[in-house]
Amino acid sequence: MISIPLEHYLVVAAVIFAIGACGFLARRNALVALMSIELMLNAVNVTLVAFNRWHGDNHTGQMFAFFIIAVAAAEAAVGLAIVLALFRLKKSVRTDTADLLKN
Amino acid sequence: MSYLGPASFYICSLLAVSGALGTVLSRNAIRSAMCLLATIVGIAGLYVALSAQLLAAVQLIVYAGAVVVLFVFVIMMIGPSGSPTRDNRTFKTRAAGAGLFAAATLVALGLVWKAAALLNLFDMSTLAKKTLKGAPSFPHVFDPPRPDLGSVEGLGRALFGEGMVAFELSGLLLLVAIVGVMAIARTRQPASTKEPGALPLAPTDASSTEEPTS
Repeated sequence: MISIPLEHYLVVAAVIFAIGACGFLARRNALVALMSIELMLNAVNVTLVAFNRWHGDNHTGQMFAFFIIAVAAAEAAVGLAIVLALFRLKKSVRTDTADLLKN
Repeated sequence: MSYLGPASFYICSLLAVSGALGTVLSRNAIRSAMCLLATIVGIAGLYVALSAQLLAAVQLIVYAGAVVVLFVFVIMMIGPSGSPTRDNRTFKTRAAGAGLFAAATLVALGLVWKAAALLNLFDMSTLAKKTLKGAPSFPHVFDPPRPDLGSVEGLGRALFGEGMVAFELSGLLLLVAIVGVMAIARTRQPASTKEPGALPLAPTDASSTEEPTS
């Protein structure tokens, strides 16, 4: 019976995390930056669940992933509220327009 | 029960990785949100393959049902200026950022290479002597899972047993997030339209006299 080993899941999670990190660093749209953060949190969740499957005698990894989902939901809501406030202030969601502290 | 075969893993991971690429690379914000939805569905499939059924359901409900809808709401509120196309960074800034990222990637690859060499050394020298077969199980193939791994009962017992305090604190975190979002995203429109002529003078005088004392 062919089964998928642990390393495949870890490689997929690492690829998604790297894509999210590149997107967060390179994109100037604040909404896409928030989506990249969500991608990175999801990749970490995949890693936690895969290691929990490997150490299958407890639920610690899945519990941790559950709390990460809760924190990610709160983070997305607060981040989108900040994006809305930025849009009201600057009429744009580009992150390089948020330069009020720069002067 | 939770074993779906290797084809589903490849389908789900392909969906997740291509969705992540689409999220980052697409120019249109609403298309990014739809690609994020594809990534989330693919990752939920990976959870099912890893026998985390409750987490897959929670992932679909929270992310696909709440977070992506919230993103789409905000994109619709912001309108066409939510996907700006112009980029006013200079070439020097971009080259410096790309060079820094390439250097960090090289350092990370070196660290991974070194860790892999250490792991191989460890496996060959000590572990292979201990186990007579001498086969370090490098591809970590999963054993069949415990039957209640990832079920509602198993994860619920873990959540309300050892994770009780963290569970209650996450509820508190969500409450604080609700209040914070209402404080941040509240519109200041009524305060700015409160012209002195539009309202009777007495309340504004009262508030202005109360302001320094409080």
